[in-house]
Amino acid sequence: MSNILFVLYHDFSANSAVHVHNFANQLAGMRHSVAVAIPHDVDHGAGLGEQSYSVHRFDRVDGDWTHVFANGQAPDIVHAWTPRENVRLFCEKLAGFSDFALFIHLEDNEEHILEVNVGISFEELARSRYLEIPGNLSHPRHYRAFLSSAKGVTMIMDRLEQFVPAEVPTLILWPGATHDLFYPRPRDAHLLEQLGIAEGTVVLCYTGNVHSANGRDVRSLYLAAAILDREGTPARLIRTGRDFCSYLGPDEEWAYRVSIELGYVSYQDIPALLSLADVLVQPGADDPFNEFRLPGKLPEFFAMGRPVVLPRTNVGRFVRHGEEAWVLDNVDALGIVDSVLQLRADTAQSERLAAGAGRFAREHFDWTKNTHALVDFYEKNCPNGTKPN
Amino acid sequence: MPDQDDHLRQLNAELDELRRSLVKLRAQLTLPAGQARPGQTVEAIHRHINALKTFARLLQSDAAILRARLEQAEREAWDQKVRRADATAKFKERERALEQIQRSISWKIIKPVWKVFNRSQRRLQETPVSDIAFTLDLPKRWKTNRELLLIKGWCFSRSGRQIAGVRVKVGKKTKLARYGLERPDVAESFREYPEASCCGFAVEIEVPPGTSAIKLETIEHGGQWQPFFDHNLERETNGDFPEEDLDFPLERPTERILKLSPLSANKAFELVRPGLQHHAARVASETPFFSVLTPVYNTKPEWLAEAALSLINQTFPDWEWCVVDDGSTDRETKKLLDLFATLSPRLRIASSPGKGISAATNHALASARGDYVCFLDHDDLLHPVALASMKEKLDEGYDVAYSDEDKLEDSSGQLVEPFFKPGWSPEYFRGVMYVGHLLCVKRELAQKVCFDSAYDGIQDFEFMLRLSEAGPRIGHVPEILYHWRKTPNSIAEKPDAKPRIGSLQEKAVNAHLKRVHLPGRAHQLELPHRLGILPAKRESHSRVSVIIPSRDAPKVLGRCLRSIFDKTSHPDFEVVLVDNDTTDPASISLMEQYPVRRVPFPGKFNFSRANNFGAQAATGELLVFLNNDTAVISDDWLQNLAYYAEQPEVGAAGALLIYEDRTVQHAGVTLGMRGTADHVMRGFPMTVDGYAGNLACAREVSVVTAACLMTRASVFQEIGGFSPHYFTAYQDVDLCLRLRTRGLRVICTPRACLLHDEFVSRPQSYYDMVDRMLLLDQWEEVIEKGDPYYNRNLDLERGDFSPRSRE
Repeated sequence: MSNILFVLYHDFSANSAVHVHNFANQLAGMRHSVAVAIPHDVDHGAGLGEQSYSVHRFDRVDGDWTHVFANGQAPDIVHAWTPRENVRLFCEKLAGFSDFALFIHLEDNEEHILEVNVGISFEELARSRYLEIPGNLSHPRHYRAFLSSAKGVTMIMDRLEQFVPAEVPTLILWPGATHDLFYPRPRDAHLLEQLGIAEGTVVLCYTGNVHSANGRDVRSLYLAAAILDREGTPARLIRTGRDFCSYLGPDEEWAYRVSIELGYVSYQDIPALLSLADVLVQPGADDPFNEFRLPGKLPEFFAMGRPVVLPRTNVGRFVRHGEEAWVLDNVDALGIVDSVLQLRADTAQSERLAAGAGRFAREHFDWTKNTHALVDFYEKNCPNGTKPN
Repeated sequence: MPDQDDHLRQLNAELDELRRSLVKLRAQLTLPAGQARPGQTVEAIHRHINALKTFARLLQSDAAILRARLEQAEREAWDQKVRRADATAKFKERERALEQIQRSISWKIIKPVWKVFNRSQRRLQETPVSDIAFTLDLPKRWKTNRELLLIKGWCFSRSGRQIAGVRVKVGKKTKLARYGLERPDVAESFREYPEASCCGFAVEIEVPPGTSAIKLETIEHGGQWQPFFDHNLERETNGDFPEEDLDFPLERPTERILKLSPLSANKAFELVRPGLQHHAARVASETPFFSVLTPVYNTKPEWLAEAALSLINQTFPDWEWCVVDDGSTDRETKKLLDLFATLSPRLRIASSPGKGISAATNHALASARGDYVCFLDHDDLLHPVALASMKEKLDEGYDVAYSDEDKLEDSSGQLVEPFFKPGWSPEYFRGVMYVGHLLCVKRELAQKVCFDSAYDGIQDFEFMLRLSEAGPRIGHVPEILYHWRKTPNSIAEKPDAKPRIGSLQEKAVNAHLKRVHLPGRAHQLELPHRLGILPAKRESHSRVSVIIPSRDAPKVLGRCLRSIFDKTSHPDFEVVLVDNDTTDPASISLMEQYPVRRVPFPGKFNFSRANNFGAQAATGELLVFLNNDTAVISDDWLQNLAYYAEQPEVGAAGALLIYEDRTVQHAGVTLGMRGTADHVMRGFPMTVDGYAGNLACAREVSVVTAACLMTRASVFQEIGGFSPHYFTAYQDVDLCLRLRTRGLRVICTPRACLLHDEFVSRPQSYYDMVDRMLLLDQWEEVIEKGDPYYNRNLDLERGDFSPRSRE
């Protein structure tokens, strides 16, 4: 049995923890002993469902492994989930008292995120002598050395490879979708009625919180609904989640005229809402942020078997336009409006996209399949570290 | 613990809610079969099971949180304990010292002796305490390349005294360890010592590079910190970046203007000699990146020394200074240049006796070896980052770059009158000599163009005109990098100091217009150094279609049509009136009275669609979109707009629009105002110069209002007209930004002037938020980058080109 320790840069309230949670459970199901280390313990991840792994705070991991792994031994593999500074320092600490194979996961353009957060160009930051980088960001110099020290780097998107030293092996590692929750189903007429949505109305959905990073994208959805509605195609945006920033302008009335605000809705009830949508939309364009990430909701969108509209970046580069998704250069409000009108007028195309989306999800967003790929990668690059009982 | 109480209360409430749900569920299950919809019961059961699962998970999560809090509370109790002990020890230490002082009879006499005694006492105390049993599990090696050191181990007192805590010292840094950790292994080995069961400790501390002394100390309740272990630790650096590279300044260096009193040549030389020599030793490249060109004529030694110091202080050192004496007669000037001549290979002195500033500059230009040349007048100064900022810009691929500038008041040494320039604006430059200093040009290009002695006085302006004709990429650095000295009788002091300037400027621009085949003639305006361009008289004219959407409003429509037909001197135009369901008889009568083409546009009004509809019906090569609440003032308005709109690289031309009180309503639109875009210079009298001639002369802008906008019909068709998704506002912003995306410029000219009663046809209170949001959705990134024609140092809220306050 291998001991595998995942290291998160934030607690379980961060999106990337969902991926770690699922990979950890899958690995535990393959008889590996799995633990997750987090910098602080506000959210232990209990809300995500059953946990077949243990969770430990950074400062509690001190070389005594009896509470961490069933065999009381040190980890064979440490999988740093991002090279953020607090993760790097924690791995440095671990290296001080045990030997292990280090793997690092990249899920963002760390340099872009750093620049945006600090407001200084990456080059300037990298050359600055006196630099204090917050723990939840990557250190402009150390993170590259950290990547070099890894046995392997897993990446959520192929283009992240440009940040990985040439000699370090890489694996594209996509997440999965919860297929027993997110699956194709007919629209629930009763739910439509409950929500007061009249027959023939275009339905768009956004299920999630809004913060500064996605405010503009969500605004595009509200705006698309407003434009459709005022130009003669009744439309409503079903919205769940809460707002943590202001993004609808000084007077939000224009948006609330076309939205149905449901507030917090449990994860289990989200699929029923998504099934009401004419199309499931991932707004955005090919930019330095989107290019390197995988938007968290996309696996679920595809798994729902509804037509998916997405920009020609990240997953948009892997799907076949017109077959598995509707791919646009720029998914802004007008792009959404055009797509909706086009797909409503062409039901055959819409049905083809729905079927293609489901197929794509089964092929690419499968936790078990993707975890096997991860294990193969561990084995290949750390032959002694991944032998389950 | 009020937090936990609240939390428990909340959990109880959730439990109650769940119980109520279960009651409902049971009731549903007991309903007669006919009363429930098929599938409803099963669905409800599923929903409740899911709710139960969620609740269980929440409980699990809450339990974990409570467990963590408990652990934390325990930890804090330990920490408190050790801190209390630490404080007590410090207190006792001070008490002891005080007692010693009080006991001494003549403290001052024995103070040195006491110090020695006290130190030796301390040293005695620092010897390891024998009754402490301890072992270190970590670190295993005392050599590391890591910044964080984890020290882990156990310790307890064999004498049975209870240890309150452990701390580690690295240099001056001290950190308390977590003490009291369970150590069953130690307890097993030391069964006779009950303290051994919880004697573990762990601590992380940052270590500096090099050798550090690591000390571990322990404290007992009521006791003092006692060392029990010390060892040296070697930390190697990773060396991923060479140390010498790590000096990139994150902040712009602050500038000190050095005002020198009058100096002799010898003193001026002595002042700058070390700096120039140091610079020569500092630069290694064979050819410099910049050649700084300075023609000199009878310059005061202190001014030349100040200019030299401003060069020496450049953060970017790869420059040479090419100084050319234009036949100075002043002995001190000549002497200083002679002294300079042998000082450094990067300081090159030459002479071009008495042929004027252009000839002297050309002489310097011919000898320049740098990749780029830049021009520094003999009495002016550079900001310390001037060359560094310019290099950064030129590295983006520009052939020419210019910066903002201000003036140096010679009497006081104060920097005044900042001039914040727009991005490269060829039309504005034809009217206003705005580029000025600091100017950097690719050397080959500058050597090809050269200066023309016929234009001495405005030689740099004329040089720039010809330079621009070669089609280089011209960039602007919106930072003040150049200080222009205000001396008596200079243009910097008095704009009208050199009366010949205006006519030279006119001559230069007319020659330029001829060379670039623009059918216009420059003429001096009443304001100094401002030129207007008049369209040349011509035999044939393009047909213009004036498109006016309208409904009723006979008063404004009558005034608009009357002014068009009474005043317009353009020989070939039509008026296309897009009629949105006019029912008012007076308006209908106006439409019949004037020779307009009335195009019915029934239904809900949409400004974009109405104009697009009118454009489809229009027959002109040029289209003017005009609001019905305007009135023509200048009779050659169409010729002036057409002069620009017909230029292939221009996408749209707009007019100066004024209110009834003759103040500005529109003189161009700036991006970023009020979060989107808005009119600048609103409320200024129409006859004033504005900011550096921006009301007197035509200029590039990002957007012009569709209240009066001319474009070529072919271009309008190519870009698909106004976007119909904009119902009432911002379609002009969207249109102009699309034109600019295609590389076309937008010009606003004061030579076309109309009256505009804003909000007559649209109430001021109405604001279309969907249009606003659509503009942001489409163009927010462009807007956020800033308007290239509105310098980022200017106040965007006011929109009147006043400098932004620096808070």
